[in-house]
Amino acid sequence: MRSSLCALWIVAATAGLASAGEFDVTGQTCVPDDATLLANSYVNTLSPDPFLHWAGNATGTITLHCAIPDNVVSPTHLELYYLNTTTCVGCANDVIRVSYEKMSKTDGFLTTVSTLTGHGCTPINGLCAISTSFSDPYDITQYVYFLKVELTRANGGNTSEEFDYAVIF
Amino acid sequence: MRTIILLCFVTAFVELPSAEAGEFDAVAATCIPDGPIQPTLYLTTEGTVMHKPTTTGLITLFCPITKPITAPAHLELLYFSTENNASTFVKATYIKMNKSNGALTQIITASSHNGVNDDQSAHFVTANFSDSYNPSSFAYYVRIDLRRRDTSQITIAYKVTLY
Repeated sequence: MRSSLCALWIVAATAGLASAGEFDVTGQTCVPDDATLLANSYVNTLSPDPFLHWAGNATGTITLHCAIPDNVVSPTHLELYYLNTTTCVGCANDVIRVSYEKMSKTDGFLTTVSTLTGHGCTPINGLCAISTSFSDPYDITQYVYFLKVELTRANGGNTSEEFDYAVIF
Repeated sequence: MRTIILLCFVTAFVELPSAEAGEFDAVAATCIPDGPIQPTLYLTTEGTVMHKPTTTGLITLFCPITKPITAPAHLELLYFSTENNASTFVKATYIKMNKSNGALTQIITASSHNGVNDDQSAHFVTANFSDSYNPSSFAYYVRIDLRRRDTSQITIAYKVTLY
């Protein structure tokens, strides 16, 4: 409680610096898994804004792993910025999912702390944004933290599906 | 106001896990596989990297150290290997590249222990070293290597830590 009060006080006192301890990541800096590399299923577009999307008519799942440096402030929120239209034929269930994961340093056991799933959406100011909050003790002495990003597409006709970035704060 | 600031400072100082604040950790799945042939060899699952069921040979991963860390003296590897010898192993190597000429120096390697493991659980190995940490002259990273001699063996890389 004392820490929470202090944190609130510090955030209030340093408005504008609150993002210093957050972690932001785009798809270009994450590591695709073996299946994604073998399928050659993704493309990075860097201009005008960076985003990661499907190559050609590829379908299936794109999986990315994004390392989180351990100098983030104890996070309580996960945000996902993306595009996805699921009104096309055969793509009603296409989703983009980001999971906040932790691996135990002692036995390698994996725990999913929080997950966001982006369904079809109408962008505002060019992107769709969803957010969730969670409560989990942030303990870098016991765990290594990372993000897992998955894009699923059942039909190549869903050309709008893209991962832009995720934020932990 | 000064009391609040002091309380906050003391609280933060007491509660921070200071021993680990300057260390580097990476799960294997966030390290970068070497070369285009690698995805035919390895499997990413649950944050770990291992061989595909039908493959053997060497898998190499590179883990960039993307933030300033406290000068490390220990390299720790969490792994599993059903046996450990020249043809089946998991190891991590802490490497530095000279920024002026690109010369590589292997500082220390943490290798899976010799012998046969049949306990189906992850194992630690820690290698201690002494090397002057100088990020102004060197770029640092960790390389992970996994090899198995045949498909009856299992090797898994979980994570590496520098501290």
